[in-house]
Amino acid sequence: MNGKRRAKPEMPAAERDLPRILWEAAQPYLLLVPAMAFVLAITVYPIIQLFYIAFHSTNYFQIGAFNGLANFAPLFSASGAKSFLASAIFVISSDVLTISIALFLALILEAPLRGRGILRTLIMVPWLVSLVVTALLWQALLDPNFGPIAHFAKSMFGWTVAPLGDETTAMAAMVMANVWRSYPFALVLILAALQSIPSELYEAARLDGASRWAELRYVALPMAGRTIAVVLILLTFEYFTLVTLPFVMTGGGPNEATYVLSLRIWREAFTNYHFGYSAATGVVVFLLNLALSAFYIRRFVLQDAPRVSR
Amino acid sequence: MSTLSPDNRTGVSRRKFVMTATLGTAAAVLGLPTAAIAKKTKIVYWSPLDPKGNNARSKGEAAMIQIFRKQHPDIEVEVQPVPWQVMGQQVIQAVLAGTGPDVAQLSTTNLPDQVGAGTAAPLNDFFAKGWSQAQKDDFILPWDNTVYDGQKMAAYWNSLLNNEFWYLKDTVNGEPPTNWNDLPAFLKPAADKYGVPGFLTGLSQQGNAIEFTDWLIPALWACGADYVQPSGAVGFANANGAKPFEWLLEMIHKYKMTPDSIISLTRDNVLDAIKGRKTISTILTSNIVSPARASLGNALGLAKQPGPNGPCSAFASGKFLMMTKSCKEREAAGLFIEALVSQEAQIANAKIAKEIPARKSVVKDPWFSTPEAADLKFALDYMSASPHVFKYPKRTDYLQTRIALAAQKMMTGHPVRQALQDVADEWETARKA
Repeated sequence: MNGKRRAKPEMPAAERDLPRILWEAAQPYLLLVPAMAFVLAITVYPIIQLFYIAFHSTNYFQIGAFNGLANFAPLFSASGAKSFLASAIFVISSDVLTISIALFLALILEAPLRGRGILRTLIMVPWLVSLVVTALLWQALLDPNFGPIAHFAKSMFGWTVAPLGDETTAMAAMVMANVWRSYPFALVLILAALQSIPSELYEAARLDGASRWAELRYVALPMAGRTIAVVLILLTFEYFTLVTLPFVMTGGGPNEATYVLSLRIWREAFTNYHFGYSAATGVVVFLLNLALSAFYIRRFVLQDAPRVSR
Repeated sequence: MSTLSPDNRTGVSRRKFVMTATLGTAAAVLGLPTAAIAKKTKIVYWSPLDPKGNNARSKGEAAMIQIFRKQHPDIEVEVQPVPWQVMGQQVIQAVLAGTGPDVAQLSTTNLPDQVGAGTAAPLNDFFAKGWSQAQKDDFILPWDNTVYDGQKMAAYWNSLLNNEFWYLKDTVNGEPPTNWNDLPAFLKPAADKYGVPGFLTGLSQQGNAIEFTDWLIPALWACGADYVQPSGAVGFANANGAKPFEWLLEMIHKYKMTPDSIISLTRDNVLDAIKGRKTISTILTSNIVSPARASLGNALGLAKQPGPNGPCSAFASGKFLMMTKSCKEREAAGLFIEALVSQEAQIANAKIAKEIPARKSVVKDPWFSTPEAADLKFALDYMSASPHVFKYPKRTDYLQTRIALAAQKMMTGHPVRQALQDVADEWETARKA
């Protein structure tokens, strides 16, 4: 027997090393398994479940039979259209105002001002305030009975002011509160991007006779463009999914003027107990966010990439 | 063995320290009786009231819980405050996630949905076992109001009168009228004099629009309409159902007694307004009279809700205690609920928090004849003079918020009947979904 074993031809070196090679090749993937399982469990699985519920009938928390697109029908009612409009106004206005204010302040704070450190700290304060507190703070400011704004308007001009009681001003107030709370986040990132621009570029522009405006237009903005695009993507996601602010500040009113899609998702699920409708709205918001981020990345990040890297 | 450290301090050697610690721990574990280290039964109770809160209602509930603790020192109660506006949703989410409380106190509108969502556990085996019919009839609100499919799903923690007419006595002349058509003339002089609205309510959908529907439902009854019919369909999409809305619109547009800003007001806003004398009158619930009384003193007057042909019926409801499906200590939870609805706890809460008790027998206590209990006496008399038994339907939060939205639409010029028909259609779709 031993003789037979000895007679067996020796395996080639490559074949002998195969298990080791396979093991080494698999090692990085095996190390990733826990993290991947975690991501699958907390991100991918809920998304799959969201799509599943969106296409099934529900009775409270029981998921019933497949019902096609029936859960999407309420989104195409007059109330659904109002939610789309409210979300579009809220997200676009907040995005534009937040980025504009943050960019403006970043340019100021980048300048060598006296007391710049204190100014930077003060400007960051709204970011430290929680969303619930922000909503309550603005609600109190705009209260028609006790708010300082209403009091000032009444005592100075005899006007009765109730901003949260009017469709247009309620949305404007909600956007203002949102911008107030979130501009510091954009400011920090844009300021960091501006500070990382090499000073040689400005010097070269000045030697070419560039004005301050030209420096901003042709040096600062292109160089900070990618960061601004990333900030825009992050803010858009956040604004689209924001529930606390409209829930606490306006409750979606008046007359559904501030009934944004995110609040609709929450209310359909936890006030109306229509989980199917809620999931269907969630799917639409998810797809909208996906489409918007794809657009932003194509339009601002990929297109600007060669120019920036030069 | 003691050692002397370089700086001449007496130290303990590592070996001696380890030995002493090991022996000490072993002695502690072996030496103590088993009962002392056994885990105490613990129940988690979610309440809209913070037991540490420095207000009468919190103190009232703290006293009720203290009574239970004295009766059952072997059971630990952990009270976790949850805002009432989100209690229903929070309970559902937590129970379905398996992390819910053992017992929760909820608003009366929430029970049908808790039952529908499968988050309420039947109390039959743990509460009121062996009670006679007379004991069951001792509750001010009908025993069957919290019975679903023959199962007792909750017990009333208190009773509430939803539709008290509140007014500032020191600003008006005489008693308020019982007919709502006479209300503008009654309120106008004071409203003009003080430059504040004569009547305030809130149409916001926040808090599930209870500020509005609490007085609207009895107004519908008074007009010959209904909130929800026995068939489950709404009972207000008709000429009679339109009357309370038309009255409110007249108060806004014709008599200028009520401002447009009510479109965004919540119950808390309205309560703050009357406490701050920013309105002459409103309609609110009995359980918040005491904080308003603390602010306004004797200036706060209470009356029956004016209606189209005399006062509206009393709209009584109550907060209830529910054992959840995730309850791990059901026997203890049952004992806890029994203790909180006991006569002793109910009288304590009535005296401290000025809450209307859940039990009729409690009202016989001489304290209810004292001036201190005058506000409760008013509510109890109103409730007994013109009761209207009512059990909320499932998805009532949805219906309430849709009614509030319909009222908001009416304020922007939407025809009343059309807005109500829209609600009826939405309700039919929703309840059959």
